[in-house]
Order: sequence, then C-alpha cells, then structure tokens
Amino acid sequence: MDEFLLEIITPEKQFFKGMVQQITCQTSDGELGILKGHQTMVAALEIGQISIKAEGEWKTAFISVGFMEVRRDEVVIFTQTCEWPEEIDAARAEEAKKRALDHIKHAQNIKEHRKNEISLARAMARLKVKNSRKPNM
Amino acid sequence: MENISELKQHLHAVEQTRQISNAMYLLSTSRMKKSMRNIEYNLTYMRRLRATMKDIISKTKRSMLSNPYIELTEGGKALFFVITSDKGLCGGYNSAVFNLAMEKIRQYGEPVVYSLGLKGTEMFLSRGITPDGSWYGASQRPSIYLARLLGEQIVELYADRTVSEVYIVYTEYVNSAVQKPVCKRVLPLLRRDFADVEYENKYSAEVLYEPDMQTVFEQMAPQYVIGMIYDIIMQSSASENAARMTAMQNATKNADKMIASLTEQINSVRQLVITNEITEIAAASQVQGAV
Repeated sequence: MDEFLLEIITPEKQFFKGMVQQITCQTSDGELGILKGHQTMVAALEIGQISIKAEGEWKTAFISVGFMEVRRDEVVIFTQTCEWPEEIDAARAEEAKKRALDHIKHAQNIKEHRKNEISLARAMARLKVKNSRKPNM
Repeated sequence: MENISELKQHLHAVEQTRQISNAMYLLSTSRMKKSMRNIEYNLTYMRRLRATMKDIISKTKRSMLSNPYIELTEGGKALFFVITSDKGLCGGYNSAVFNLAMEKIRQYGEPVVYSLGLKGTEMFLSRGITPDGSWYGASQRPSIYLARLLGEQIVELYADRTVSEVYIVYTEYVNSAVQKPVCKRVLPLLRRDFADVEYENKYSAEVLYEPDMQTVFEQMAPQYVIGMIYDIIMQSSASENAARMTAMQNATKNADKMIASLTEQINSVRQLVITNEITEIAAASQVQGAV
C-alpha cells in the first residue's frame, strides 16, 4: 500500500511523525479520509478523533481544534492538543463533561452557552477515544 | 568583645539561608531549561502556522478576506495584558515589566488592564488601578491549557468589539543573562506581520480549502493568538526563572562571603578568649608563687 508522511504538531510537542497509509479525521462537513496523492488542501478540523493507519493497523487519538495541510506526499496537522487513549485522563474528562453540562443549563447568554458547548465537545471526544480503543471501521 | 554565642547563632542563620538560596538557584535553573525546551517546540509550530497563514493572506485581496482579526484598527479601547510572576525573589524582573506597562498604559489613557501574576496585580492595586481581569498560577506552571483560556478570552473581547487593540507586556527571554521587557501587539493581526515569514511556494497546484478559505482562516487566527500567548507565557517563565537564578546565585555568593567573614570573626574572638584565659591563669600562678 502506498504510504505518505504524516506529521502532527502541537505547541507542546511533536505528537507524531512517520509514514502512514491512511488517515481519517473530522471536518465541519463530516469525516474525511486521506490517502496518498490527495489534492493539495488546507482543511479546518473539528474537535474529535483522528484515526491513523500505519503498518496495516489503525490507531485512534483525541484531537482538539486545528487544521490540516495536505500535499501529494505529505500531511501536516496543527492542533492545540492531541492525545493517545492511554494519555487521556478519563476522570478529568468526566468531570469537565459534568461541569460543562451544568454550565450549559445555567448559561446566561449565547456566548456562555457556546463556550460550554465547546468544552463539552472536547470532554465527550476525549471519553469516546478513551473508551473505544479499537476504531470502528 | 563580641559575644561568641551570638556570632555562632548568626553564622548558623546565614548558613541556613545559603542552603535555601542555593536550592532555589538549582530549582530555577531546571525550570528555566524546561521553559526553554517548550519555547523551541512552539517555535516550530508557530513557524509553520505562520507560513500557512501567509499563504492565505498573500493569495487574497484585502476585500476578499473579510476577517475581523486582520487590518482593523477602529477607535475602541486598548487592552493591556501584563505578565508578572506570582512570587518575588527574582531581582528586577517584576518591576522592569511593570514600569514598561505603566508607561504604555499612561500613553493610552484608560485602557482595559489584565494582569497575569500576583505581583503585577499587587503593584497595580497599590497604584490605584484595579485590573479588569487577573489570573495567577502561570509562572509556576505555564501550560497550553492556560494559554487557551486566556487566548479565548482575548479573542472573545476582540470579536465583540469591546477592545480594538490587544497588547501584551511581558519579558522577552534573550539569554540567561539578558531579559528585556517588551510590549507586543497580539491583535489585530496585520498583513505586514507576516512580511518576514520565509515563504516557500509549496503549493504549485491549486489548493482546496475545506470547507472554504474564510472558515479556515477564521479558525486559524484564534489558534495563532493562542500559540502566541503560549510563547509569551513560556518566555516570561524562562525570564522569571533566569532572573531568579541570577538573584539566587548572587545571594549564595554573598552568603558565602558572610560565612567566611563570620567564621574568621568567631575564630579571632575564640583566640582572644583563650589568650585572656591563659594570661589570667599565668597571672594567678605568678601571684600564688609569690605567696
């Protein structure tokens, strides 16, 4: 299978660098799969998960907002945080989820509501990645 | 004649202080190194982020990219974000950055003031300025989480037009001996900010923007701001620890000097006491012999 170079960069570290066969990530329009030789593209990524197929095996990680630069033989993803399932603190995510839900109930205005929705999305995505070690594809 | 037990007590106290200052020196050295490592990583991230942003900016005409973050300087309030430490014992670090902040704030009349760091908040309050927002905890543990929190807050204020300019006053880390306070504009982003970006035209083919150029740029701008803030709090933390390192190194040196002089004093006093005792004994035995 054809491989291409994937790099995931966060302000804190280089999360991933290596040859991969396929990646799937979430954009505002839905899931997006990338194979080698994809058209040059810059895509905004949503909070959610990213699945990477390397050496025939799928791995899933949590990813927060970011964007992706796709070239024919290379993909670079910029994001604020990216975590493998084993790095995710489930208790903290659970707590963040509860807090966000609570805040949404008592939100005073749209701005506050939106902000907590984002926190909720982040917590839910973390929990989802943590709980589903095998990607569902 | 000085009291020998008093001198010993003094020596003991200085020795203990030296131990503390030396420990703080070692601690701040390792903290500084940690912040410096993070600055490096973030630089890579920022460099590539800037390259992509420049790519979009250079492709669009002013009118095409109707973005609230770029090229907008209508008369609104200015926001000054001042970054200091939570703890003292770091030489002139806090006062240097605070003085620069005061100078800028005076130029702008009545700007919105945000303070990150307990020392800065204290200094503002003592000058009769109540910061519109204050945080602490960054100097001990600067994190991307905090950067995001602050970045989102700033972007929000900017987006709803409460402020039209955002400046951060912080201490730039030049090297372990030199740190200089600077005032940096964070928003609005100007086209000329990207003039120095090394730009390789890596997309020879037509670039597809998903979902579209506008959305991509709108998502990038806040991330860029957060990245910038992360860099700034890391630089501040490196500077603070470098300043503390120098201060503590000097304190340790001074303590060493004091220990040396106190030991000398104790020894000479002890010698004096012994000499006196011998003289007394000799005198007494002479008197006895005479009797």
